Amino acid sequence: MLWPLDRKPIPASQIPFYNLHYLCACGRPADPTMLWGTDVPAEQLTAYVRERNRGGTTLISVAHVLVQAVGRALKDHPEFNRRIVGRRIYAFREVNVRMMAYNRSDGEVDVMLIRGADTLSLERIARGMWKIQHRAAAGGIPDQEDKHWLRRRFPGPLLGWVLRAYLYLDSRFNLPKAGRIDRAGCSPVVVNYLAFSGSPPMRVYKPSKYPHESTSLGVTLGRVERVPVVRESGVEVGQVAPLYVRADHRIVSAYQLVQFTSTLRRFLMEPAQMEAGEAAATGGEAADAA
Amino acid sequence: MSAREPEQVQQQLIDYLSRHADVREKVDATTDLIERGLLDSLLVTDLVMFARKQFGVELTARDISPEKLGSVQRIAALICEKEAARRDRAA
Repeated sequence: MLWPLDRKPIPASQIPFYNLHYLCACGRPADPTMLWGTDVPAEQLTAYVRERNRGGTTLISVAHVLVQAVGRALKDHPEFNRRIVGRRIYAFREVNVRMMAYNRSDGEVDVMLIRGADTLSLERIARGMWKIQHRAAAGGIPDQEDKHWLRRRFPGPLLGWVLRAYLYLDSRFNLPKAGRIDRAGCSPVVVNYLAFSGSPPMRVYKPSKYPHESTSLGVTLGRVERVPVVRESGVEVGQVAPLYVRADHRIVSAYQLVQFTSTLRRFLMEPAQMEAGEAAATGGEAADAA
Repeated sequence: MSAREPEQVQQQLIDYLSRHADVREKVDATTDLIERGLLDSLLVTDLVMFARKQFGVELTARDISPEKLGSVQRIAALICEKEAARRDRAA
């Protein structure tokens, strides 16, 4: 007889917080996830980012345009700005976007909450996100402090039980998000820009369903690649980026998913028009680490 | 501690970028890092940590601008400037 595994499990203290979330979530009897994958012609997107960086005071990246595009697409399709609680659907009061950023200094995934992403200018989104990422590199954002606080407060296996209990309650009751508890739960969407140095071309990507019920929508953009594209004049070298949108069938239909994906794709294809077509920034902080 | 030469800092930055960035063509001190699309968010954060660890210099969130990070030459100038300011404060 073989026992292929160690006798003791890996202690919770050695598992990144983000993985613990998945580990402690309950299994689902059915998978309501829909996924739409498409390509975004990216010539205008890269040209726009380059243009904005000429003489700009804040470095703009495709990730910032993506956050803005998701915020504005959510505003145009409010049926996506909702979450499930028990067997009921609630609308969010404002359009907030959650962006993930891998932090090499501690091996964790930091969560950035960009509040009012539908109204913020690109400059403000970029400034807010750089501020958080800069602080995160030094280990000083609320998200990191909260993780440390939770690990200290609930040592060993206790943390797993606490997370499990919280996720159970949050999935069944309309709870407030305050203090150290689940500030990231103020957004229906998780945005990933998986285009870091050394990443291979993205052909297929399956975004996971975050165990938290607040996240009914997932948007992932891959790296811009040079590929052959068919145009009227023949085959040319073009730039495209893969885009994947995951939605929850309990909230929207496949038709609505197509509409949302089309809007998002158009915003990414024509970012200048998207930026010009909306109101300028509102007051307050652009982004807040959740 | 003696002042670091900008060329020395430039070479260390070029070596760092060659190892960590998605570099297909050679990077030199004047290569436009933005035009080449090399500055993704993870790399910028890594550069901040590299400057802190390697040169003891703190790049602030305000330093994350195209003007200051646009080329290896500019990043090296920023690092040398901050290093000098730190030495002046210590003196």
